[in-house]
Amino acid sequence: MRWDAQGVVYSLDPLVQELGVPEWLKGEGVPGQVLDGGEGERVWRAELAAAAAAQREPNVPWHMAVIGCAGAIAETGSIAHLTAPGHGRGGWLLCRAQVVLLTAEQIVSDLDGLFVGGGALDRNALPRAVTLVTGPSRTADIEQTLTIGVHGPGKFAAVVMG
Amino acid sequence: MSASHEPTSHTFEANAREALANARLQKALGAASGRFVSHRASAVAERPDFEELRRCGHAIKQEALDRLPQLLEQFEEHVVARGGRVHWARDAEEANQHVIRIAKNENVKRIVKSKSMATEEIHLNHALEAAGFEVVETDLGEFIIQLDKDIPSHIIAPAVHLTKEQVSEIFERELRETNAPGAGIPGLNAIARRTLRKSFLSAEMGISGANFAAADSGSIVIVENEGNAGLCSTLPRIHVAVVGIEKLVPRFDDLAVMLKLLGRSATGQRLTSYTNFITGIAGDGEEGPEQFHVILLDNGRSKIYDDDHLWGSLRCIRCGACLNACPVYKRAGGHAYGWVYQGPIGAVITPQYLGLERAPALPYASSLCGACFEVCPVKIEIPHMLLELRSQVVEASTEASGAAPKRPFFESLSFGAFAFLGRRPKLWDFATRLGRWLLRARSSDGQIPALSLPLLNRWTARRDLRAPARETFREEWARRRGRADAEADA
Ligand code: SF4
Repeated sequence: MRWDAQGVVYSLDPLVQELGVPEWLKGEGVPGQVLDGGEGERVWRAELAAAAAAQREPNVPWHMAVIGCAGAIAETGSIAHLTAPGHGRGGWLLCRAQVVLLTAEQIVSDLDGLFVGGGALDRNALPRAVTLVTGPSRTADIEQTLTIGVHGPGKFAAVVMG
Repeated sequence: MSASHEPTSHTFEANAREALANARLQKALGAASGRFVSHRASAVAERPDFEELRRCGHAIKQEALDRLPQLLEQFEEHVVARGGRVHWARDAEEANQHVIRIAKNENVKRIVKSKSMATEEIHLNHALEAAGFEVVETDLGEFIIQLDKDIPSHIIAPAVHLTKEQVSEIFERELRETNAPGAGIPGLNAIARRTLRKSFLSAEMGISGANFAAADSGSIVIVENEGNAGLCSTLPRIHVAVVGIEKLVPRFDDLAVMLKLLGRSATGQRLTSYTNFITGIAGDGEEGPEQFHVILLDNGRSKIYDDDHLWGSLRCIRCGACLNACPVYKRAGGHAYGWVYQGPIGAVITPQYLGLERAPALPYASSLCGACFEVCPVKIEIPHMLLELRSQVVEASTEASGAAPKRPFFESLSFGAFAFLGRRPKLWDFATRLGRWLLRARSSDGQIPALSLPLLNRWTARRDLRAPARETFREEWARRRGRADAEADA
């Protein structure tokens, strides 16, 4: 897969760290930014906002997000993202592409599996936002014709670690 | 096209006739409903337990209605416990005032909105614009509709009545996008993405609706495909959700069933691209808004709640499946219904929100074929409700005129003749034989081609009918019984 990202943003997820994503980016010379809600992320967003405000350029500098997740559903091919410090969601929603890292143990068979105690949708431990992401952003609002990537990432990949 | 915001439900028949004569609209509608229907059918076929799910969905929403007052209070407690606020709104005016007050207090100038039928219902955009705020719809379909100053024609596909050529024209006219014509659908999407990105990144307030609200956690759920609802509920510092009181489910865990039903029924997806579960405000170091307001909207719902025959319509989860299945909607389109809710469910609830006298034709905008009930994920008995509303229309006109409603002359004549013959078996036999002989004389290859007949024209001019059977039912009955008797004797 070749997505030609011009920069990569990543969350503070343990899997992301374990795989050494930040160091690897540095080695490859790809601009990287951690989504920790800190100064760096603010600057990155201000850049996005400026590019958006300037409007005319269709290919504003676009980024790929690499994040972890709190669970995944086999039946629907979904991942569950929970907001927490260092795990924002505005960051990856604004990117053009999204890569989600997960381990095989995180996968449950269907939606019900996430609702059990300790699962991503445990009602006693809900963060501000849980997002079940199922594939790329899409719309069929014009003539019912499916098009990918309207507001959120138009590319989505889940990488399952053995 | 630009439609006014005044409901036009009272002129359904004229609206529908106009829609039928509009070739562009017929093209758009024909293509869309076919796709909706086939996508839903294959997604439903994947789950052998779909019937069971429908039964559960029905039971969950029914329980929620049974315990609604208590659940609403429980919901409020949980929202507050998580740092949010709940505002109760009796009607559209109160709901709009709540939002305007919050926006003014917080010095808001720019607002982004994700798709919500409740906010359509109360004309929130209109109220906010009148109060001086900049409001931008961010769902692609709603964005197009907003630019064109139109109103949605389908509860989940608001711009389904427009062709891509029309959308190009709108973008060129309203956004000065000279490249829009010829951009193709992906190109049009890119224009919308680029234009709206600016709004997302500068708005101080995001407004959403909710598909569900869980009483025991204070969470709301927003189901979407584009990512705009996620952005509206994350980037701006204030999030306001306008939630109809019928959106409650008793338990957070009930959402598993409801979500399995909703995506499949609405767009034929197992789950939509993004399912957002929102609970309270952002915690320390967590990304998200500082303020979370829920406007609980009544706006006529408690009146429906009190109606013994129609309260089941509050179970509706606005999936739109009944629209796509409905032979009347498929041809008349959403605008004919004249208000924010269209199709079979629109025909049931619009008269209740606007008053039956302002939508007396809607209960008749159905062939009562039952396709809507067949597909409804929460088993709303729409045909029964339409019949109930029809009898209310008749009662109301009886009351108004002080006499039983007058049937059209031809209708009384035909029912009179039917009753007369029905009481005279010999004459009945003769008449049916005569009718069969006449019809068979006109038929070829077992079909009677469409023909123009005085008085019966509305039925016969556009339909091929099958030729009548060789024998009438009574003849066949007599023959078979004769044979059975003979066998018994033997
Ligand atoms: S009435 Fe049933 S099928 Fe129609 S929109 Fe509501 S839930 Fe869907």
